[in-house]
Amino acid sequence: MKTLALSAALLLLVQDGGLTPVQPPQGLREHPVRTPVPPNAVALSAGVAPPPGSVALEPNMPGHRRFRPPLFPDAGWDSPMAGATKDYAAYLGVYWRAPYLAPASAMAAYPGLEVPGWTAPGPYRADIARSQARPDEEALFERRMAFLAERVMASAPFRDPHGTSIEPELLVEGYGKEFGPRAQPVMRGAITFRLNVIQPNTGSNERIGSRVRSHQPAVWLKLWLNPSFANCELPHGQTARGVRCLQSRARLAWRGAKPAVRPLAAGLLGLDPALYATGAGAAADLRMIKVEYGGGTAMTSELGRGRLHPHDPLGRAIGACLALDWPALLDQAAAIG
Amino acid sequence: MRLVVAAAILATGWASPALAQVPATIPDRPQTGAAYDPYGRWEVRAPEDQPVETTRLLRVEDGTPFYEKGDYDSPAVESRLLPIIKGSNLPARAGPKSPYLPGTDLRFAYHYLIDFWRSWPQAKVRGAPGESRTAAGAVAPRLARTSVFADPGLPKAAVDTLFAQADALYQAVLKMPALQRAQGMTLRGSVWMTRRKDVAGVEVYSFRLVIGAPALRIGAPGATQGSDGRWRTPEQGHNAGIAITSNIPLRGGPAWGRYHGTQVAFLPDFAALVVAGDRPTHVSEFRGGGGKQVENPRFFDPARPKTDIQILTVEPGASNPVDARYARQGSLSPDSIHGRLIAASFLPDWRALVDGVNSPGAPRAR
Repeated sequence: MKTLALSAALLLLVQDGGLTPVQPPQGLREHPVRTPVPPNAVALSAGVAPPPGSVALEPNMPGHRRFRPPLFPDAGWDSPMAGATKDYAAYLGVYWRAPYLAPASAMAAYPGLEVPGWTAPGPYRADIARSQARPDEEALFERRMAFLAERVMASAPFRDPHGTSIEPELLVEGYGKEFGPRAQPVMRGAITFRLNVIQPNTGSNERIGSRVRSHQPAVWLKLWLNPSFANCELPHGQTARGVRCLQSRARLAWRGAKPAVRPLAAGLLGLDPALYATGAGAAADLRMIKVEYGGGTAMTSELGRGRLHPHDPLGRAIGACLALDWPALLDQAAAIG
Repeated sequence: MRLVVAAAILATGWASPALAQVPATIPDRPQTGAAYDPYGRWEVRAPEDQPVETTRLLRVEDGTPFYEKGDYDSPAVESRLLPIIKGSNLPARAGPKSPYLPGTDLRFAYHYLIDFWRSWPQAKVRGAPGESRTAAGAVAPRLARTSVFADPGLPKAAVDTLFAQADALYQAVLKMPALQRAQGMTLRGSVWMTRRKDVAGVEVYSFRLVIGAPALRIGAPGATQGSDGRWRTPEQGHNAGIAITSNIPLRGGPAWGRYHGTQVAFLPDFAALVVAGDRPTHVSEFRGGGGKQVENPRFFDPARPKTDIQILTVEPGASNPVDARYARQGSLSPDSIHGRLIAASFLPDWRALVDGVNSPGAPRAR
């Protein structure tokens, strides 16, 4: 049994480059920053351009007047490099692969973080847009989207949430307009997970059983099925099955070994038009998925300092985007017939 | 003892910073009477309209009411035709105090104008005789064939049918005594006819009847008085009018509600609406219901004659935006041209009129 656990830990270590903590730390503590600050960094007033030959001292660099040390290892200024920039969200992906904080953990800067949040119960039904899609194509896509929504809602960041209530909205877009010109037959859809923040005396809340449902919009996580537009800015870590888009806060996953994207400009990937072009009767094929998060909370600016609590709605959305195995989910959804 | 307590509160609590920091917007108790819950649901209810004291009716002169002088000024107050809420310039049940359309939370701001002409159909415009605002203007008794502008693609028989429909509606509007009297305005109608399609491509024939009501200008050069004593004067600038449109897709959402049986739409001001068909004007955005209400793409029935009126809207329009705003906010005088046209747009029984001009066997108007 012990060997099994050890080998599992070793496997994790190999898989994510040693980022997953093998011994989960108890609670949160501040970590000293190891990465040196650029020698030419100068403290400036907000909005002032640094003089030539120097860079601005950022709030996540030691020495800045608003600097606070990160609460997680390899976070804040110690975040791993992704190309020419730092991937400040990486620590949230690490955390949500093996969450170790108590679900109801509280923190003074996050009022309401310990309150259990309501999640919309399944089965999830889709809204079906009036398009040219056939009813069987719509039903197939609705089944696939319900599967994806259930799996994401059951994942670690979204299961038993505290400080946020989560509701998925499923929309089968189909293709074209019902009475519009003939459209390319590619089924499209979108699942939007709305993470509403729970805060006392804020917005409008309602108690449902022992949980609280909030109507205060904060963060969303959106799944585009067969997206028509892959605006992948600052791509990083492209594999045979997907790529992260650091600037556009998204990631892409596709089926098949051929890359479904191609560079449009420096730091910008676009969709390969051949992705949806092949095969007759392939309208209902699920070939690509785009996972995007957006919105934010009052603590969004703590992300760069490595102090954003992973249980914050934004931490959960980033965790779902980074920690889930999207190529595998895509394969399983596409296999549903 | 009470004085002492009050003095103590005044001395300590009144100016104490702790009390001053209590936010006024967060009530200390929900209205349901439950204990305070920072994660609870709060009920916010608009206060009910309280009974108010209004100016009294002094006398009725020639079918026209004469009310006490109001405290403040507006065209509605100065007309002395309406009961005015004491201490304000707002007529009773007007502007923000307008009655709700039954079953909705929407206030119908034209009520005070329509209700005036429903209660006092023989009221006259008050003023010295011979003034432009009291003199009688010419009223065209029927639509003229010369004022028809038809799409050349329309068949001759369809033009005749549409003209007969428009003429019937024109004469029905002019039955209102205030319009027959036509004090301070002339009345004439013109019709535009065209083909229209719904989103699904079903074609129908549509007309837009505009009843123009230019104001009289008796002193202007070219003003003439007919043998019947009615005036024709040169027109200047924009005219108030009523636009009656058939078979036009209903933009701006479904009907709000009903006012005395007439459906009320918002285009973008209040308009009377008649639907003579079995099909809904709007459907939900998504196939299984849900989403917002969008125009029914299959609204027109292809089995019906193209000249049948399947939907009719009646929009009163002001000659200037000030009058339009005054009408909504309760400042317009009912005897103004726009006030009379608003009443004329909502008083006729449009459903019966549409049923009368549609082909036999057409669905009843609703």
